[in-house]
Amino acid sequence: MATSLTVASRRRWRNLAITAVAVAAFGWISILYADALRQHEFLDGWALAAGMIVLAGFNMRKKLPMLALGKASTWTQIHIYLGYFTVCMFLLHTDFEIPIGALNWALWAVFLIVALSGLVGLFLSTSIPPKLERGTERILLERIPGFRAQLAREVEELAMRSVVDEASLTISHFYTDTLHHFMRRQRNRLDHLRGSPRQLSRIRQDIDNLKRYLDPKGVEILQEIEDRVVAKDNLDFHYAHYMALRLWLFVHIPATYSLIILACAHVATVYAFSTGAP
Amino acid sequence: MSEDQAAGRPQRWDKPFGLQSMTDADVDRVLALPSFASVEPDEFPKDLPLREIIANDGRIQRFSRGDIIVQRGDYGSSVFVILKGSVRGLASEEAERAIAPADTVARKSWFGALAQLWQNSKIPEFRSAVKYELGAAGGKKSFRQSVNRAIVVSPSYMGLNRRGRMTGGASPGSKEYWGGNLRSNPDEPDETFVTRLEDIDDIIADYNTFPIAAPEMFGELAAMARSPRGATIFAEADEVEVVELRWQALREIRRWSEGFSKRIDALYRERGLITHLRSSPIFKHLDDATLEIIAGQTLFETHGDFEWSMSFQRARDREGHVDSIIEQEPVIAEEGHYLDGLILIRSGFARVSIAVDHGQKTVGFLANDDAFGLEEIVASQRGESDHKLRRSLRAIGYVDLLRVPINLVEQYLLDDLPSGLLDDSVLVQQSEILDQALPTGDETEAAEQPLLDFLIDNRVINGTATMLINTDKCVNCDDCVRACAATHDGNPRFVRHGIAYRNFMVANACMHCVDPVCLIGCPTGAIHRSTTVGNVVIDDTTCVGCATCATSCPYNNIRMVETRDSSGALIADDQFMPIAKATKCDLCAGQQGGPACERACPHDALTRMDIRDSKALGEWLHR
Repeated sequence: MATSLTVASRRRWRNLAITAVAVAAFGWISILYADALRQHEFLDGWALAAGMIVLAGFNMRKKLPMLALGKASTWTQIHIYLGYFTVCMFLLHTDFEIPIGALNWALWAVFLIVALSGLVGLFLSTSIPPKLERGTERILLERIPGFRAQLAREVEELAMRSVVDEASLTISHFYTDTLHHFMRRQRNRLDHLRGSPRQLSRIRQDIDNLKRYLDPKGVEILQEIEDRVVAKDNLDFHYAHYMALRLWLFVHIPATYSLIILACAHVATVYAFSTGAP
Repeated sequence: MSEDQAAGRPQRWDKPFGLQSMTDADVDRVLALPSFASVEPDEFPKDLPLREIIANDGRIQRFSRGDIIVQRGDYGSSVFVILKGSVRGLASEEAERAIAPADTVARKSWFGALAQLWQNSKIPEFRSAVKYELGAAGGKKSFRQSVNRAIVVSPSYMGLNRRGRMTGGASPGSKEYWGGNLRSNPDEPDETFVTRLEDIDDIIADYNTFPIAAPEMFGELAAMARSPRGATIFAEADEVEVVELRWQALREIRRWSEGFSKRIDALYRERGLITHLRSSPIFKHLDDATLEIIAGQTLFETHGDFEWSMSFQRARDREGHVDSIIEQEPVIAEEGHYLDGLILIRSGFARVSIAVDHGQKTVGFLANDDAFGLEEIVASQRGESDHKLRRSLRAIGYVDLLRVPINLVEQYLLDDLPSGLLDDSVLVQQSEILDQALPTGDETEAAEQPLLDFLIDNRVINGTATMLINTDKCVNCDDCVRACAATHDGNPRFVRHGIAYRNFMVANACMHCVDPVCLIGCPTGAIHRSTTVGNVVIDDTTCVGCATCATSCPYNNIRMVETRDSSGALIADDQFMPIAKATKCDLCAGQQGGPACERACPHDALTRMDIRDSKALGEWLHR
């Protein structure tokens, strides 16, 4: 059966096509501009600046939700594809070369950071949400510390119970040697982001190895502990991904502000040292 | 026996409808009314005597000229019988609009909306005492402004106890009322909120109204069907006396007294049935004479629990899920049985299912004006099958329905049935949810079925503006929550969490239900439908914090909050109990551009949707 395109796919291809046409048109105009012995850097430079202003406007839109400034999702689409467009303008503007001079070099580097962090953010924003369906339900980020503390408390109580009820130190030693460290705080962030379950597997293997030393009641307690270890690992998984979804913004937004300042300095410098018509 | 046992279990009439039970003399007055002439006390069981029903589930109310007794759109759950005097009802939309109170929230200007940036309070749930004094301003006189809503404006909130009921206690002199229209009976410490129309002579002269005089009955349709009041009724004379019976009394008396039941049914036939039939697409091509014949033989039935929200919540809390909720849904018509009439849903929802092995597979649901059994009747007439039902019908919560005898359907309906009606039937529309919501071909039918079950089992079908979140797209940025807070004085009015099916989450935000059970029982009418767009909104100034709505909401979408003053301290009453207010999503009433949450989502992951709009739902899920 032929698979029809979803609305999102259709929208993606349409926007890509519009962006490609715009870039091609602007490239052609730049060539005409250069053929007329005019400096195309002024044309594509201002196009670049205009693009950057609109891109930065997205953040302002987010800060003004009470105004009817259009849907944020529409702004997102504009942000993404205008972002692609400005990258192309940037390459045209720099003639595909690494610039000379400290200011221009800094501007070039910061632009690169903004563009790359934006692309990383786009990748993370589309790839992470479907992964978060792991487990039974979405867990709210702000509830994770509370759940984690609750699980840690329960595991500690179970370990204590094994000492009191079973007169066995096996579980309590395992708790102090391994589980206490694991349960205390967020662990294995990179492994979760890589999708590797190795740390959890190792703890579960260790738990399995302990069973030979326990009576049936002790095994029951150990099983309860294992359930909580799995639940804690699920919290860590969610936490790691939630953090990834937020951390890229801590690069993208400050770099954007730096870029705006450097771009203003760049424009002032260019006009201060330019002569005649562009 | 322990002391607790000795104290006794709470009983049905521990707290009568009125502040105290009606006296014997009052009950005698009520039973002497023609409405109760055919009611025989002997017909009632010994543990449910008629006099006790009336004494405890009834109360005598006195109204002055212009007092509004029931207002159109209110979800009243009581019936009135006039003991003395006369009342009038508004007979036109125009008249209702003329007297309707203005929406409590006016749309903000562009600057007013922007000003929220710096005007929003930093204190959570801050309430300004000044806010409660607004509205007393004068201006051009109109019917609208002649409505005096009895609203508590006391900045110190004195006179409100922690249950939020007005009391006649401590310091009656300290109360102030916007419009000064708190009805007070010196013989009774009870005081209730009353809205009064002042220029009723002009209203009667300018608009179409209808009189109802003693000893007639009114309000029975809304009480029986839990539908909104169809018309505003106000006292025409001074010293109007009515007996108000809550729906429980109506139910009992109808159940045990055949004469009373017939009388109520006759009233419904006379006042509402033909109108109702005409509004149904199946009957609208019939002339008045035929409709009258059909109305004369149509049966009324109610199924399920009137207070379904409570039983639903209990079942959900007990089990932790609602997978087996279908077992609690009363069967209205069962697959394989013979159909004895065309079933027309008047109010509520019903589940359509077919038997599969040892369980029931949901194939759709029916709501207002939808019909069940028409396909079987048509198939039978064409000789394709007998009148055996191919599907079962169950009451989801509470369902009020009409049953039109098959012979009438065959005689009057089938010959002129509008072409395509069967093809456009609701069931077909419901199946579109499955067709469009989930990919076809790659998915098995078994995999698609849970979506419909999820929608019905969790009663999500009740929502007209349900907040849906696609978790495959949601990045948990909380822009929706921040936008909600920015448009509600810094307080978000929903929780970005809720029940989920696959990547389809129903967040804890008011769904603005078709059947808003939260409205029932509000003592002040603070929670109401907006007069302009029909959203369910809470008037913060009239909310007394009794939590009735929050308790009734089966979706936990109304939150009680403790209010704070400008210093951040909790606002308390004269007994030092915090003043609570009910809060919920108001769909950004008064804001520019519609719900801020939806507009703020950068990934198109959040929408507000009428769940019954299967096409839109399917498209959204399948984007």
